Amino acid sequence: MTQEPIVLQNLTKDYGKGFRAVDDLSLTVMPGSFVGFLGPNGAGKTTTIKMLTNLLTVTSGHAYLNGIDVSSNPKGALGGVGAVVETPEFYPFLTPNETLEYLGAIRGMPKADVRKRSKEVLELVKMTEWSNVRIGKFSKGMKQRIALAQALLHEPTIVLLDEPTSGLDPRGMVEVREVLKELKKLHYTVFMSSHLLNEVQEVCSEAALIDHGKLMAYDSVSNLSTKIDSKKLEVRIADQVRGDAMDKLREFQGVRLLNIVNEQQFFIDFSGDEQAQADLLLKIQGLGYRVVSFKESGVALENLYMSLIKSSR
Amino acid sequence: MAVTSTRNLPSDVEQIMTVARYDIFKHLRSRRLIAIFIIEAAILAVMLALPAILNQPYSDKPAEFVQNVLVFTFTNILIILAATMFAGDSICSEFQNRTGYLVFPNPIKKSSIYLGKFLSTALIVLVVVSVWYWVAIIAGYIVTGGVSTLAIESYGLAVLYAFAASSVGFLISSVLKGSTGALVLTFFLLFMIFPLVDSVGTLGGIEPVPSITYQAGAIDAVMTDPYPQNWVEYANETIGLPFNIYFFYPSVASSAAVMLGYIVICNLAGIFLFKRREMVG
Repeated sequence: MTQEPIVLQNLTKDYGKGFRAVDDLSLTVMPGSFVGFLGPNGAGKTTTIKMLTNLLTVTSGHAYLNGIDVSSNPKGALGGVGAVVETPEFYPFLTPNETLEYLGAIRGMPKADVRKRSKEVLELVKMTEWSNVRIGKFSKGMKQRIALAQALLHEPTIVLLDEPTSGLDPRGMVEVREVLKELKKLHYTVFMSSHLLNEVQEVCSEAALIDHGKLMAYDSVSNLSTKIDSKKLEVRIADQVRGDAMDKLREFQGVRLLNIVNEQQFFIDFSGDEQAQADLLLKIQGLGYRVVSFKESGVALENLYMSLIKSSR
Repeated sequence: MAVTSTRNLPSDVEQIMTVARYDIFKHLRSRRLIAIFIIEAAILAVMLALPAILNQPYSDKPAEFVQNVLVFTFTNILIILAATMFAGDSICSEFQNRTGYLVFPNPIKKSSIYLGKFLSTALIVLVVVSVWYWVAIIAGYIVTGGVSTLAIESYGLAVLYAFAASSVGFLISSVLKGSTGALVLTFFLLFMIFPLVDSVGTLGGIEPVPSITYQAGAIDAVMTDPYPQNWVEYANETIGLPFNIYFFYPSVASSAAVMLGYIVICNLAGIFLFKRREMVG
């Protein structure tokens, strides 16, 4: 078998009553990639990650981690893997340090290594000051950070993350994203499910889009972004929107659709490069509008994602 | 910091010991252990003090002394309580409390997790039963000046029964989804359902040999000298007995064999079911 960190071959998962959650999914993750696994709720993202971590049995096909089949040798396959699946709960009677000692011992880490690494990973997730407090009363965000810490404890070759910012407050999301960016710098191979497009665009080098258990697209984020030939621009002005000026704007090259939100705000679906976008701004100002803000709305992946999801339904 | 390759994983036995160690840690920090020791201490104190309070003499025979202190009904309830509290939700709690999401994605076989947890439960119930017996045996030694091998045999059977009852708890825990259901079913199965089946079988003249609670009767019978034998009170219309009444006493050998059977079969079935169980939802 190949030695790519993650290989999915015709992976399929059927639940009862004929529901197929993952349908003949094949993809290969190269070493050092940070892959965002995107899809709407119920697309099969978590089911895929659960099969990769042996939490669910595979109906057919194969999932390989570091070349080892997860179904036939889960202990071997998960040896080099750190995972955060859903929002794990912790044993409330243990402190973060004790939890990391436990999981380190399961992985055969010498005590001195566990102590050293615990310090490092708790520092990374900003939980050092809580390292000797029992987890029982931790908030969800704190537990999620400890979950990330345990996934990195043994310096895995592969990190599997299932919606790591799910359920966190905005501050928690920012903090977890900072940790994810650190992982990217450290060249871990990361496979992260998410339905947050901006998150994927912000931290991932590649993205795989899935819907109804089927792979819709898999490429680098930059390549996927270039496949999108229009962007949404949000314009706010200090003056009132005028009908004649809007008609002139509709005729400007690259403007596909103009949507007036209120008297001082409108959206433009625009197709064109950065130069054309700059010219559009000049055109708006030339129409006598004093522009308060002129920015891209949403993320580039969003349009591609929406068009792929629509076409699969 | 560089990303390193996989390290050598510990053997299954080492991982079982690790799981057991941390599970014991869980029990030591739990209220359940404190609760069962309080119950145990209260019953022992009452039973040891009762003859003095009632102004009755203590038995001068070591086995009889222990038998009088450790009334079988209490021994039975204590073991069932311990099995319920320390085995009843061991496996299903990993699913219900979602701690499985933390532990299962690690490089460890589910059978190792199961066996580690069982080992820890076995150790805890061993401590509970040992405290129960050895307090009585030592008190008996102080009062009678001797230690009976029959009491030691009873202790051995009680330990086996505790392990077997815990195995039943582990099997139930591997099947059921919720902790409460598993705890309730374990308790009522051992406390009511099995004894009810034993009674129905006995009424029909069938010795309930496969029943764990029937076989537990040897724990008390072994301390009776001579060992009680099966007998029948035949129907006798003249004294108003319309049907035969059967009295069955399990032998030490059959008791030990059935207990061991429960330990092996329940745990094999429990491991099989746990391995097949998926972390859904």
